[in-house]
Amino acid sequence: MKKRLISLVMTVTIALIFLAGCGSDKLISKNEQKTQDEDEGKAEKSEVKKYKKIRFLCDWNTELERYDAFHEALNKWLADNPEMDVEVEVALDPDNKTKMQVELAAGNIPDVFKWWVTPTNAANLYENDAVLDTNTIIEASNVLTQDMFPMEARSTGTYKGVSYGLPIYGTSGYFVINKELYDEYNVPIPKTYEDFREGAKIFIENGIIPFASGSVAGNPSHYWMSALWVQFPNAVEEIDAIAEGGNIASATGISKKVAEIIQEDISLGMYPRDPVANNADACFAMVMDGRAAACYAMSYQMFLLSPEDNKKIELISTPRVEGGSMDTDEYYYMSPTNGYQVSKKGFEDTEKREPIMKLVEFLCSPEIINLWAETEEMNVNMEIDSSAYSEARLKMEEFKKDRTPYSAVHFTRINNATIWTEYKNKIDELYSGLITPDEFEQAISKVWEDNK
Amino acid sequence: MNAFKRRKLRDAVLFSVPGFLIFTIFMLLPIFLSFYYSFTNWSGGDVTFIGLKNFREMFTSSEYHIAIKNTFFFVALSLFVKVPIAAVLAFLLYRTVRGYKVFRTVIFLPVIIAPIAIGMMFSILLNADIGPVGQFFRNIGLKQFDIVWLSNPKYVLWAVCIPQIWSNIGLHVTLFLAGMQSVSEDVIESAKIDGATSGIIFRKIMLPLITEISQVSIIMTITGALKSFGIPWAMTTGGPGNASTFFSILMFTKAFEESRFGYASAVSIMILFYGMMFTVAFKWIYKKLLGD
Repeated sequence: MKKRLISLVMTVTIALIFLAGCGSDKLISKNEQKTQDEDEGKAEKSEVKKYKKIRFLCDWNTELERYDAFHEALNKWLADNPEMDVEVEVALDPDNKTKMQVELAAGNIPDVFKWWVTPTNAANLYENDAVLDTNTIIEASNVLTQDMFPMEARSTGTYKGVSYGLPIYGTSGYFVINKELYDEYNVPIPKTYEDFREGAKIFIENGIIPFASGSVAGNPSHYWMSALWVQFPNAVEEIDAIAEGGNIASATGISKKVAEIIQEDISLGMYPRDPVANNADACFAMVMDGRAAACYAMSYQMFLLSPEDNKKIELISTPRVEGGSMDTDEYYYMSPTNGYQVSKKGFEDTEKREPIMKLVEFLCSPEIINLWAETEEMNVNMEIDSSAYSEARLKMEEFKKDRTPYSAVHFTRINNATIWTEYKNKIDELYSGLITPDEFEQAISKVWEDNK
Repeated sequence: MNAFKRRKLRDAVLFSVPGFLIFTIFMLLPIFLSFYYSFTNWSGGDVTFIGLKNFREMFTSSEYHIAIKNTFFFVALSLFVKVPIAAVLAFLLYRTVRGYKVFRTVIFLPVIIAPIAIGMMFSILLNADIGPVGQFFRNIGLKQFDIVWLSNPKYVLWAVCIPQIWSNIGLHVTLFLAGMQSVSEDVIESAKIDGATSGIIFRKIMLPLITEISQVSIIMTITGALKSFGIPWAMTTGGPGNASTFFSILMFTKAFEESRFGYASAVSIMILFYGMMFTVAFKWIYKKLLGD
């Protein structure tokens, strides 16, 4: 009898342990329990009726100081709006992509999430009708207006003729040089690509990498490729046409020309020897450390520059390629790439619609927009306080003055995830010498044919 | 069946139920679901049955052929390099008296380090521009050994396979060592008295007596190699292009970068198939070699 009882107790205990392990409720500490009880007590006293709980996913890294202000602002807003019940989740790139894929498959994406608007990273959301279009979000709001989100900003988040999400900020690209190295070795600032290659010889003789361009799963090489591509005649039109189903390989041979430029640069020793091992941050670090003389960097990297490093660098126009028609002194790359997406399923839940819109309106409020403006390129038509701009930010603003932005790059125009992944793979293969420029052009055309 | 036996059976079933449930829900069910999804074009939304289209596309794609070649290369490298080295290391440890625990700990240490950490560590070590390995060979004048490991398609596969072998060999050493320590000391002593050298003891006595352990090690090696992901992903993400792509990287890319869960399920079914095929083939060969 005793043995039977012991067996039964052990079986039940083991089963309960397994079930507890599968449960989602966190184990909470005594202090947390006390706080929860206090909160519940306060809630009871004030008799605030909470909205239905909504989920907000962001990448506001709690380990980085720059995101403290975002969390503080959100927590204050939640405290001021006790009827809101928001579960805040933080997931960083690339874990957030995996998380989103899994949650999309489970039919349970967050109600509001900070995300890309570009189809390269959001096509599966658009294909599966999982998120709201821009107009629906704006029309459901008492605060947001059509003017706040200019049509140009919406273009990169347009998929099959429909603009999705709220484009808030984007990325700009810069040809960054280490001015100290250029001065030390008396290398003139290049205007043409020929000047650039001439100067590169001096750097190579002195053991400096002339141009830190890496290609780790196509990053950041795809930006550099587009920066060269867009200089050729008809390139902007061809790249724009990709969004409407056009071939990613150029009909006028530009893809091959750009591939030839890159392979010749590599054969001359202008790039790091190990492109697959050097991602965007590694390339940027090489320029800051003085191991490389230049790189093509994105605004999000510039924003993280220390004042000391900012003094070393200068932003110049991308050297003009032979046969190019774009005057690079007059343009700079900038495209809206990020913002907020709203779950269609969440929005269609009548109990969630109001809290979702309140949260979206807060996330588009001047307070949050100005926090973004300190570190990102903004795409909203709102008054922005520039007094908190860093020196690096001011340097970029100075560079962009009197220049026209262009957004026609492959990253913002390819709207098929398979084509985008394969295109970046082919860039890797080009960088590592696996394929020739001819083969590159044929390969990306085939990728488009097979997956269009 | 008498009452005692009935009670024993009941208790056995009761204690097995939780484990069986866990196994069914977390092992069998996902396999059956993967099998089902492999015949669909599921990308996170609606599920549409498309028959064998995923498999046809997979078998005719160059990236799949590259993944097969790379994965089977790694399986072969693991079988013919890792397992023999593990057995030899285990025997050396078995014979070591002084410092045995230190050597055992050092050999086993890589096993407990996360594969992603090992991958990142080796990607920095082998970086031809900033890595210490290349710098070392340049400094001692051996520039011919300053190889571009990660971007050169000729060498990248070796670059991602060797860290995996290094990280995992300790586990197999421990397996072999446990087997060797279970061999009766009398047998070894008798062999020594008869004048057997260490080599003969290892080849003619020890190895035959630990064939069961060898089988386990080989099966674990094969299945582990087929599932290889963390280290190559951290080092090269399967690049340049697909030059260092393995099955699991292909599956991950298709599922989480291209949102093609149906296709990725088809890849996972093939991983399962190859695992079963290797295991069955190996057991048959082992039986034939050793006799019934």
